[in-house]
Order: sequence, then C-alpha cells, then structure tokens
Amino acid sequence: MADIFVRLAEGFGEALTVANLIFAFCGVLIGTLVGVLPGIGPFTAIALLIPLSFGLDPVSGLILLSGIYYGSMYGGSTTSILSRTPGEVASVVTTLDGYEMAMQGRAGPALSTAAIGSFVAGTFSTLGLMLLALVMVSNLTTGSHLKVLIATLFGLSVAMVGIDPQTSVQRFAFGVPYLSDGIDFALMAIALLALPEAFTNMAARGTSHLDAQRIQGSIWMTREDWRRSAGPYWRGSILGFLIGVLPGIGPSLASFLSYGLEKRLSKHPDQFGRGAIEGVAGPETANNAGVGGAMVPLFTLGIPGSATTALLLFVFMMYGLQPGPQLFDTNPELIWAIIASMYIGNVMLLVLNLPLVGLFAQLLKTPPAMLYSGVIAFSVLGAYALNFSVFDMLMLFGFGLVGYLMQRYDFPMAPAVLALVLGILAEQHLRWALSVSNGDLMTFVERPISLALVIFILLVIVLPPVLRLLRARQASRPRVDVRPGGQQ
Amino acid sequence: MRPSRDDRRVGSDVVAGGFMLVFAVAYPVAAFAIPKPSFENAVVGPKAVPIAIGVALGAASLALAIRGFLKGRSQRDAASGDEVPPQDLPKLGVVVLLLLGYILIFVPLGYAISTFLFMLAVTTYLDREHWVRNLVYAVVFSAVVYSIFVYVFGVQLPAGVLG
Repeated sequence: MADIFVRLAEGFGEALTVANLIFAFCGVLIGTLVGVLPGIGPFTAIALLIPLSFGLDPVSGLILLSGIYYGSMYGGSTTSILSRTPGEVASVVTTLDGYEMAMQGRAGPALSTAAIGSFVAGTFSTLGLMLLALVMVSNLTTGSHLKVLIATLFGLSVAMVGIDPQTSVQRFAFGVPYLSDGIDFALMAIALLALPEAFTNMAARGTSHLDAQRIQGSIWMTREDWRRSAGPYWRGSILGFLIGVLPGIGPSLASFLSYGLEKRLSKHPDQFGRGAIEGVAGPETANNAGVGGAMVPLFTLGIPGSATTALLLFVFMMYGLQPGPQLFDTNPELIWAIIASMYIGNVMLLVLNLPLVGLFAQLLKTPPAMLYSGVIAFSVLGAYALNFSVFDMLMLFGFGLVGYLMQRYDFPMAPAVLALVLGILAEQHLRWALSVSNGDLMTFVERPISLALVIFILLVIVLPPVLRLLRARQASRPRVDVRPGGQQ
Repeated sequence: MRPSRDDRRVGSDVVAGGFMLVFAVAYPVAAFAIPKPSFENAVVGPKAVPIAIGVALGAASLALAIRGFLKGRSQRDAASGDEVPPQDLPKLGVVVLLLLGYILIFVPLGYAISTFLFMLAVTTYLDREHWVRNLVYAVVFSAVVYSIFVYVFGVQLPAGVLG
C-alpha cells in the first residue's frame, strides 16, 4: 500500500513538470472546446489528434489525450444548459433541468454546479483508479441491434484487409501495395466520425443556427444551491465511477441513472424537468466520474469499455505499450503520471471553467461553414500525417462518403471503428487457440478461466436485450431519446 | 397527402439493407480469391474468418431489408426522431467535389495554398455574404495550422509552390 503512495507521488512529480502541465492544460482546453462545439465529441477529437501525438513522448501524448476525454465531458454540459444541444450523449440528461434553469435566468448556478460536480467526481475517481480490478469485454449498445451488428461486421470486414500475420497471405489488397499493411485505424476513425458530421451539417437545407440562452446574473451558487447539490455530488461520484468501470455502458448511462436516482430521492420530484439543480449536479458528476471508471479496465486489463477508451488503447499500442497488468510492472511511472495528471487536469478544469464559461458559450455562435470546413481540413491533414501519402487522403475521402451514408441510414459509427481495432486481434487469437487445440472448439469451455470468460461474454451479450425487454414491459413513461452512435 | 417521414424511413431500411447486401455478396467472393498459404499447418486458414464475416453480414443485411419491407406494409415504424437535418444534395455534391479537389492539389500546391483555397471556396460557397470574414479565416487557419505543425511539432507538410 505504501508503495502505491510512493508511485503516485512519483507520478505527480512527472505530471507536474512544466511540459506535462502544458499538455494537460491543452488537453482540457481542447476537450472543453470540442465538448462545446456541436457534433464533435471526445471520440472525434481524439481521433483527429492522434496523428498529432505521434511526435510526443508517450507520457505527454497520453496526458494530452486523456485531458481531452474528461475536458469534453465537461464542455458538453455548457451547451446542454445554454442551448439544449448536448455536445455528447452523456450530457443529454443535463438538458432536462439545466436548460430550464437557464430559461429562469439561473444559467450561472447551473453551470457552476456542473463544474464543481465534475471536480468532485475527478477527485473520487482518482481514488477509485487506485483500487483497480474487474474483468470485462467491450460491448456497445445504442440504436437498432441489427444495425449495430451490421456496423460491427462492416468494421470487421475492413479489419481483414492487409497481410494475414499468421500466413503472410495478402487479403483484399487487390495488388495495391498501400493496402498490404491494412487500413489504418486512425484514418477510419476520422473518416467515419468527423467527415459525415461535417458533410451532414454543411449540406443541411437552409441555414442552421443555435439559439443560446444568455447567462444572466451571478454564476455563483447560493447557500441553498450548495445544500441541494452536496448529496448529488457524492452519490453521482460513486455511481458514475462504478458504472464507468462496467464495459460498454460508460458515462452516458451513468448520467441517466444518476438523474433517476436523484429524482427518486428528492422530496420534490415534481421540480425535476423544471429546473431542479439536483438534476444538473448529479448527472454531471456521474458522467465525469464515469470517465475515471472507464480508465480502470483499460489500464488494468487492456480492455476498452467504450469507444473512446478503445481509441486510447490504440494510442497505447501506437507507442508500443500494451495496457494490462504487466504495464504496472514495466512502465509504472507512465501509468501513475497519467493518473496524477488526470487529477491535475481536473483542478485545471475547475479553474478554467468557472470564469471562462461565458466565453465558451460564445463558441456556439461559430458559423457552421467555418466550423465544419475547419473539421474537414483537420481531417485531411490528419490522414496525410499518418503516412504522408495521397492514397491515405483518398481513402479518407472514400470512407467519409461511406460514413455519410451510414449516418444517413442510422447506422452507429462507433461499433464499426471499434470492430476494426479489436477485429484483427480477436481473429488472430481465435486462430491461435484453435490451432493449439487442433480445431477443437471445446478448448474454450474446458479450462475454468476461459469457461468463466465465455459465460461472462454470453451474459454481456444476452443481458442488455433481456433488460430492455423487461423495461419495455413497464414502459408506460416517456423515454428520452438518445442519438444512436453515441460518442462516449 | 405527401409521403410522411415514416414512409421514407421504412423505405430507407430496405435501401440500406440492399446496399449492404451487395457488399456482403461481393465480400466473400473476394475472400474465396484469397490465395492459399504456402504452408498448410494452420487449422484455420486465412479465408475462414473473412468468409464467416461475409456470410453473417449478408444474413444481417437481408434481415434488415426484410424487416424494413414488412414494417412498411403492416405498420409504420415508430421513428425514433430523425436526427439528420434535411439534406440538400446539390450542396453536398459541391462540398464533396471541393474536398476531392483539395486532396488532389494538396501535394502539388503545398499545404498552405491548397488549404487556403479549400477553406475560402467552401466557406464562401456556403455563406456568400461574409466573404471578407471567410477570406481572413482561410488565411489565418492555413497559416496558423501550417506553422504549428511545421515549427512546433516538427511534422513536415508539403511546401508545394512556396517551397
């Protein structure tokens, strides 16, 4: 136990160097900005910035990218409160009461409680990260099941392109040398996430603009606001962290559950949906705590629980690091520096957001033409910087159009991207396992550990539809619609 | 009455399923063309997984198309809110062509000039009134991004005609 504190202290030492402080600051700043901008979630932002982090050393690169992750979680709340446009899925629930508070001229306290809640959550989840553990698989469930399945299979089919590592046979390369290394994960992520969003918004009929509520009066919370927020803070922290650790659920569900919990516990449930501060404090705390929770399976097992942590897994692998239990032995300073920087980033978020909240709100007024042409230009640059090849840019173009069609026809993007990164690993392991056992499928159920895994995987696959069925039975109350293809 | 959004939606599942089905048929065909490995020690060869993916994809696409078709006939799909704003196809076409043009001039003209031209063209096409603002934006964006990448991150971007 004492060892952990020594390590953590070293981590803080590393994270507190001037360079890393700047990277953490840039991370939370960029994260907040992209969280505020509509249509660009943390997933897209990290995908766009992966090429940029090539030049950095692993600690700085990962500090930057994780900063973006939790910064964007906060940024999303600003837009939810002021204009009712959640920047990402996890903030959907914040629109319910946050926007109402803004309409009543209480935007300031709503934003403050979101910022402070996020900070409290960060403190809790840093503690939680030190506790570690748990087994899981990744499972993303949003939107129509059939479409999730098709998107996943599509991602897998793209993953097959390139030289088969076991037999060195070319697959689907059609003699094109550029394809023999396979299709780059970052390229596909940018093409499927950033471009379709840009196309859709640029080709929208007429001119779209966002109505943002102005911030009137003090941003400070009253004593009454504090009293009412305190409970939601700690409940949201614990709930969010625990749910964040679970695979494939992530921060979005945490915020919904927290909202439900606060409403149930409240003495005035009728105020919810009409500007109850608990309805902002709880969910916002929960979704930030969820980010910390989602890091646990990534660090300890190397298994991403959400689309965004899958991207971070890719970044680890890009640096030649394999997240998992060994990483704590081989590169402890790296892990602890990231954990320490997450905490420092949280402090920065609070300092940054309370005074600058009005400024961020202004960003909502960025004309779409400027915003999305910038997104496209960054996408092209990102694709080029991967291998300095024109072929990659053309591939970006092609997949961008595919992504546009997928979005148009309501297919979720995240499973396709996730399948690409996990697909090739899964195939190789499956084939290794089968060749070791001479093709005997029973090998997966003979050993206790693999049997337990198989059962667990089945549970993860079977449980969500069963739960949904049960919920549908008692679904007399109205549901909140979450946009499919969530960006957690 | 004009066809409602729901009608389009139900039809869209048929279209989407159909598209994916074409891909799903072509994919295993290409998978069968994967050459045999030079040594035959693996129990599962390089073809097996791609073919399985293709078959599963075909089945899922077919199911989607059929479901869309059946729903279209019996009852209207309870649309979960069409989040995609109505699309202006000519506009999309122009943006897509501009992007293709940008990619093609990226290396020959260099990053700074091609990016400037692309940004100016796109923003002015979409928003003609504010051409001065667009011009300033295009200059600043291409110059700032170029400088950051080349001087701060040390990533060499094509200099093109400026180099």
